Amino acid sequence: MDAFWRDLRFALRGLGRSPAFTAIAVLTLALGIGANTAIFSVVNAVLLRPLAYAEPDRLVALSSGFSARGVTNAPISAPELNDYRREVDALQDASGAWPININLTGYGEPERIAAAVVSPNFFSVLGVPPALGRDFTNADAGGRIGYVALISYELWQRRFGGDPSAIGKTVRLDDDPMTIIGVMPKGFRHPIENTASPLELWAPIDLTNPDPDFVNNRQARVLSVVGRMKPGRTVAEVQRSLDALRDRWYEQYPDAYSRSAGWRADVLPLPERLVGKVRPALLILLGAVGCVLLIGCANVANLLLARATTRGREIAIRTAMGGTRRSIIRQLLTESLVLAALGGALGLLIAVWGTSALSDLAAVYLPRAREIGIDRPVLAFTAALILVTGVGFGLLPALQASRPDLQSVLKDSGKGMTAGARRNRLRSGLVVLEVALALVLLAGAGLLLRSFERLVRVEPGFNPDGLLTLQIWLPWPNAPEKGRYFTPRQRLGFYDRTVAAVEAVPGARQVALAAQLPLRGQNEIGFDIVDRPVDPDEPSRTAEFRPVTANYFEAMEIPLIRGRTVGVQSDSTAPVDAVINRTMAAKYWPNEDPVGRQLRLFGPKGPLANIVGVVGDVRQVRLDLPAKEEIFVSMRRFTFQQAAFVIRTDGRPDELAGAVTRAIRTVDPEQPIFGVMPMTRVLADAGAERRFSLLLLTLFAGIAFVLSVIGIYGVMAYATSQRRHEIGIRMALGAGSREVLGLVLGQGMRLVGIGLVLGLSGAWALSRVLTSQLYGVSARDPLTYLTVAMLLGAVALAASYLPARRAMRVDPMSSLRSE
Amino acid sequence: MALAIDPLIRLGGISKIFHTDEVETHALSKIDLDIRAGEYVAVCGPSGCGKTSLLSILGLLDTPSEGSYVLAGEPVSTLSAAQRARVRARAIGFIFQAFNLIGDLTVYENVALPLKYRGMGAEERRGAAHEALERVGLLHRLHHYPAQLSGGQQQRAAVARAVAGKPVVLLADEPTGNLDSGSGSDVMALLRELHQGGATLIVVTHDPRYLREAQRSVYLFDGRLVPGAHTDREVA
Repeated sequence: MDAFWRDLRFALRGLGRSPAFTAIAVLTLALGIGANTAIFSVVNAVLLRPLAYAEPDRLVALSSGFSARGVTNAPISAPELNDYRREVDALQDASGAWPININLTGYGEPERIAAAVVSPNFFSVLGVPPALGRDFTNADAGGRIGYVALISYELWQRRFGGDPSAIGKTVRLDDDPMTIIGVMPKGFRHPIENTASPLELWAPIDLTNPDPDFVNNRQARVLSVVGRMKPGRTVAEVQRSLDALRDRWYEQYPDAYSRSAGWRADVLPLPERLVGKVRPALLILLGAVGCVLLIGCANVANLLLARATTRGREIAIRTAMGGTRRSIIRQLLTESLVLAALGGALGLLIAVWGTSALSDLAAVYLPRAREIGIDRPVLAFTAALILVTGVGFGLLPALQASRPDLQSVLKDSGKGMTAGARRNRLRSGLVVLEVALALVLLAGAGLLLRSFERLVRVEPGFNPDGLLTLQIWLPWPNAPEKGRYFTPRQRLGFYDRTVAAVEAVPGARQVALAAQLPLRGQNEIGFDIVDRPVDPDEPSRTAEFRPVTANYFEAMEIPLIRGRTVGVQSDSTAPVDAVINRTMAAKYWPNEDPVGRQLRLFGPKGPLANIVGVVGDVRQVRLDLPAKEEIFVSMRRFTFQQAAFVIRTDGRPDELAGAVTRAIRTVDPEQPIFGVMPMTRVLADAGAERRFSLLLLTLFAGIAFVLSVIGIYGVMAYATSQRRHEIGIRMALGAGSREVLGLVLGQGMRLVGIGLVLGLSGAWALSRVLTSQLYGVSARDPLTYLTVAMLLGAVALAASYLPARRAMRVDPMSSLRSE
Repeated sequence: MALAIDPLIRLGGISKIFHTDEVETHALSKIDLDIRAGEYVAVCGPSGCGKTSLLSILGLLDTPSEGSYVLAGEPVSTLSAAQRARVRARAIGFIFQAFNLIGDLTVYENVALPLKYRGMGAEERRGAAHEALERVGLLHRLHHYPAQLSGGQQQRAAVARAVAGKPVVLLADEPTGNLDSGSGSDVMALLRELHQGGATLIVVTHDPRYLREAQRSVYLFDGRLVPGAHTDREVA
């Protein structure tokens, strides 16, 4: 123990004597350890930390899909859920949740909140009871949707100030009086939720209600379902039961389960369902910060090697005085560990700031982003990192320094020639490693950057500039017929009045409505083409269904290619006007004019629609997916509770937000308005996932780039200073400044060249890892590889040039004399 | 550069002043010295007398603060660094006390290095290097590294490097200073041979045994040539 304290004292004293060295090493390590800790905190929260439910390893997510259309993780219907609960033996229980928008009124400012109607067993399946109040019972649903609600801790705090008397209070939810019966624990998250707006309220629904117009419809697939397996049962067993049910349903309910569409039922462990999609991106980031740390360690190891050279005499004296190799290694390792600890402490501060920034940055798309933080496992990871890096970068220099050639060092002999290159070889190897790792990261960041640039340049199919958007959810009480907006006439009346009010706002040039904004979700329907029955081998025909107002295309600047747009359609008995997009026209009428053709919407019993026009494609679902078939109809014929305003403005759209909101409130002061934002933001949100990876990987690649360039400069500067004597000899033998420049640059660029070749090979080998993150660019895009290699090469050349310039100015006489 | 030019080296009023902080050190003062082609001159004097400074100026490693230096009929005291490097490569051979071989290069590569700087082609370079190494008896050590040679062999390699390009003048700074007496004698015998072959030799040495080898000795004291202290064996 005494030896430890002595070594520690020596280490602190030694580091204190070299403040510049200590500062550079600590800062380098802080960057590496900080970045690793921050990303690990994300990985820990998202991938590693068990879900905050009882026995989460027994929870599974059940979903449906259509293989022929590439649809996965789709919701399921209430009858399906009921069958699963009855017939899947490996399941102990399963619950359904139907996410909805709901307007909270009657208690302060009206607010739209994300909510869900859930089967009464929802919380018991998760194994999480309310923190306050009580859980739902079957009786609460009252056969349909109950008039009681559980709220989240956050909503309780925000709207009720955390007052326990909120339990028993009645609020109005979509105009229904609902009694709050409980508050969920702090931090409780709905298992499958929209990451942008967490669910804050749950109401019970009776999913066993036999009314086919309520929920008893196999094709009304709206539920996200969580199941709890019996102890000891496996996901594979559940899947086998689902497969058996699927095969039976193909025969039993051919209308609901299309074999040709490849309908299927899937089960996944709940954590996998939640985070499986983001796992690759997070692991890539973890790999990237690992590279940053390796580069940082290589830099510090290089500094230690240089320091060991200058301390060679001290170490030789210690050895000559009887110091064992072990004691010298221990002393040197103590110094490295102290450096790593200091770097780790500073890195932890960086990570604290970083995790908060990451949590905000990732909130839009990363599940469990709100759980990101520094906790005990993260601290343990940091401590392990400190230990590993301290030994990692300190061991080689310590081993080398502890083996001095006593005679040579103490007698200062060996002057007949310039110094050997053993230490230089190790240093050079570290530079090669740094360049290679930096290139791998730069190539990754370059690919993501090009990918993102392609994505940003994707034409969404409309002009987002100057467009303000907002959304409205009209209340839909449990007894809808008693609601203010039950009939289409009531809803249309509201929309007409609000459009008129918004049109009166100065600066609002054009006001249009759509049931749903582009890039804010799917709304797929089935349809038939009149006089063209579906081929038995053909998958069922589906298209995005978009009710809009007649001026929507003009307001959005979606080009009308043929025919006309949807009419006003005030006659509810007239055939429906349908406008289709270019993709649909090309698919079904490649050599014909689709205008005048007829569609039957929703199935054999659905309404007829006349195709009246063809418009340009719009990326409705995702920017990185080609446009699907789209059918636009008039909102006057298909009027929903949900509507989105698109307002073409004369100035900056966000400047109009306040006036537009006030104008809508004049029509209905209790109507919450949400999602008020420029359309450019809607587009930006659609690229949030890629932006997250891009920003972080670019940041880490940037750090790696700077560290490796510093490393190259450091090694070249040191090597040049070590070669002063040799350069003096060469100059005495007739070398001019050009030869000296070539000598030093050649040495630097040789190392950089090897690093670049290794880096390119590494990037090539790892390219497959990035494939899923890219859009419009190959993971082995030669242009990107070439560009980053040239960039790194050029900057490395500049880093080598500075020492080379110094070498050119070497006075041969003084360098020979000093020897 | 024609060897017939006489004198081969003419120094006129050469001074070298070093400035360190506010201290001015006169390393050489008003040196006048002529050296004929094919002459073997020893420069001697106590430590710090300016021998190395004189050799640096003669070898164009340094420039004089004052005075003129004419080498083989060309004034060289005002040449730029690049021009001086070219003259060094072409006309001057150095032998250092500390051998100054480059540790990462083989014996052959060390010897061929100045020839490379001179712009000599690879084949010609090989021939010249081989010839020089044969002359010093090290042809069998062609591919050895300096660390694999004894001190005497290292200095012989350094001599081969100095003479490979057949320089106009050969400058040796204490060439035996790092050698035992046996190896020292061998090296001095080698220099004698070179001189007998027509080389112009200027050797800085402390060792009275080797002073006798030179045709002429010049004595430096406190940066000045000591008048009347010159010895000229031939003249004498």
